[in-house]
Amino acid sequence: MRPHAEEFQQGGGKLVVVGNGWPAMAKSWARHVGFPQAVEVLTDPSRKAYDLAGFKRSRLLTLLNPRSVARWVRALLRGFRQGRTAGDAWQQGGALVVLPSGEVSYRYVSLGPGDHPGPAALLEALGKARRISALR
Amino acid sequence: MELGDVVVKDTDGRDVRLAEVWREKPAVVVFVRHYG
Repeated sequence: MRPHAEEFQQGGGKLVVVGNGWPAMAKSWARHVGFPQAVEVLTDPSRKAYDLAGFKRSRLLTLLNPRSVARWVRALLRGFRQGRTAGDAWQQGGALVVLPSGEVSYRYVSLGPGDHPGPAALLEALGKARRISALR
Repeated sequence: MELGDVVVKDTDGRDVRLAEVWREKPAVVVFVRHYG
């Protein structure tokens, strides 16, 4: 996602990344990833936003999803090693596109590690959101 | 409670109400599983 971060601003929106650890974890992670200034990094230690957004929290989804295992093996083969986990290991993520009115125009609920929409899908959803906003 | 009413934290520990995040323009909000 990081190489595409500025495209969201150029597309008339903004990219916000929310995690679920403590602020110090978020700060350290954001520095490690090297997000540009345009990206807002926030954290939701209570995971209240995750719950309200409909994102799942499950050990089964995390551990036993065959797609998760396949993605993990592929990542390992490419030389990726996950660092120490900071945050809630069982919490699944997802993505939303939210209009200024608060209406959610796009929602993607992740079903396991590695299950997330690509930048192209998110940029397309942002374009639709801009068009909806312009009509109102 | 609505999603916009949730108060989260920025990386310096300051409170941020989510509705403020998308108040001016549409926001793509990616929720990560965890850091690391």
